[in-house]
Formats: sequence, structure tokens, C-alpha cells
Amino acid sequence: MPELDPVIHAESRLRAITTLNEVGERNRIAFTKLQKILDMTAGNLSTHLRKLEDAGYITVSKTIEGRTPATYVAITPAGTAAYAAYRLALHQLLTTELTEKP
Amino acid sequence: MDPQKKLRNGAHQADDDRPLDLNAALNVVEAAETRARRELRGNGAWVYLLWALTWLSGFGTLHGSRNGWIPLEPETALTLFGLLVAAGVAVTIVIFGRQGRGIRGHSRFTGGFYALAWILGFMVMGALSGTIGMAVDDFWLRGMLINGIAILIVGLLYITGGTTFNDVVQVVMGVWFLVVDIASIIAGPEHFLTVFFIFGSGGFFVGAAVQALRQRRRPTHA
Repeated sequence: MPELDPVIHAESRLRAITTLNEVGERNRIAFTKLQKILDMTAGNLSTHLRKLEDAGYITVSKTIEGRTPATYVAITPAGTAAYAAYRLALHQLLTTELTEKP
Repeated sequence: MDPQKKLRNGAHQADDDRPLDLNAALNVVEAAETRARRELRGNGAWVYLLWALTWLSGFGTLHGSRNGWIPLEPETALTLFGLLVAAGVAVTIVIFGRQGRGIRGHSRFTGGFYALAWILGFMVMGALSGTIGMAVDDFWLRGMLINGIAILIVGLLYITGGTTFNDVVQVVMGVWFLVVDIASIIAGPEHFLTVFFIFGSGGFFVGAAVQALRQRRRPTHA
């Protein structure tokens, strides 16, 4: 039986990495825009992003825009691969669950 | 709180670190993908609808002036057409500007140069229009030639945009506009406005409807 990656398999992190996967490896999204899309508090989002970053699934970079500091988040190739593996495992588990139902 | 409602309104707290059941995970993925696509790619259907209405009213005004069912001089109708197109361009810039804000990287690069291609294309058209304006006396023949160049640029850039951003609807619309452009030139100065009034704006209406349906039905696989 395939296993679901515990780093991804939690609601907020799953929402975050799904959104970052849509943004794509070749792009970075502003923390504030990601926060708006996910409707999460800054503290909560930071906590979950740190766990994804520790796993090597995302990178977080800081920059200056005009005179304002800005934080950008991007999915890494390892993150894209982990997310694809998670989706495949989820699909296989759901299919198994469906076929095993009486 | 009902989990679905929680997903919709995004009331997420720090206690959501717990693992999900499989169906809940699939629901989370689908909701997050839908939201991300809407926020990141916008709704192209609205842009097509905007241009359908711009072309319908703009070409309609010129067509009405040409055929006498709107009491306007051709020059006044042309000015109204220009104002409508300028308004359409301004709204489109605002829509795509908002969409791209907060994103850096490859998308910004391709989007930026795609926008630049539109600007440069219409600068060339503006320069050519000046020369055509001096060389051709007949108002409607002049209009047909300038319009023919403008739609050539629109059609080619729609195909380019569709292939760059992997949007088949945009490619098909680009092909359609080029076909309508050929048809309008064959129709001649007498009837080219009728062709655009019906089939140009019609293409945008159909594009808007197809894009809206695609965005509603876009499948998500676990």
C-alpha cells in the first residue's frame, strides 16, 4: 500500500503546496498573495511553510521592493516530485478503498 | 464548523496539523486548485466578454453609421469606436495587471514580453495607418485596410498567446479572427463592417462561453 507523505498530508500544508504547485517551479509568489489565496493568518502560514521548507519542498526568499521588504515563496523540484507522488498515492488509496467496499 | 464550509471560507487555525481522511484530502486538493487557478490565471471568459461587447458596440456604431441606421457621421462613429477600444484596452490592462501582481519569475517574463508584443504590434499599425491615410482617399477603403492590419496583429498574437500559455481556446480564436479578416477583405469596403459586427464579436461571445464552461468543468484528478 502506498504511504501518504506526512509533511504534505495535513490540511494547511496540503492547501499551501497545491497552490505553490499551481504557481509552478519557475515562479515565486509573494507571501502576502499566498496568504490571501489561502485565507490564513500570517503566523499560521509561516508555521506550515517552515515545515515544508525544512523538508526541502519549498524555498523562502526575502527581497526589497521599493523600500518595503517582501517575502517570496516557491516550490522546489523536490517539492513538485513529492506533491506528484502524494497525488498518485492518494489516487491509489482512494481507488483501493472504492474497490474494497462491499 | 462544517468541514466543507471551513474549506470554503478558509477559517483555518493552527490545530489543522492533524492528518486528513482520504476523501477530505481530495476535497482540500480540489478546493485549493480551483481557488489558485481563479486567483492566478483570472477568468479569461470575462476578458472575452468585455471584447465581445466592445466589438459589438464599436463595429455596430460604425456599421450603423455606414448603413444609415444610426444618425452619426462616419468620423464621429470612428471616434466612438476608438474610445470604446481604448476603454477595453484600459480594463484589460487592469485585469491582467492585478492577476500578475505578487508573482515573479518565468510567468512575469513571458507575460511582460507578450504585453510588449501587443504594444509594438499596434505601434507598427499606427505608423502604417498614417501612411495608408495619406495614400488612400476613400474613407471606407482606408478603414478596411487599417482594420485588416489590426486584426492580422490580433489574430497572430492570439495564436502566439495560446501556444505560449497552453490555451487552446485562445489559439482557435486567433485562427477564427484571421479567417474573419480574410472574409472581411473579400467582402470589400461595402461590407467589411457587417462581417466584423457579426462574426468578429460573435467569435468573442463564443470564446467567452467556451472558456466559462471549460473553467467550470476543468477536471481534477487525485
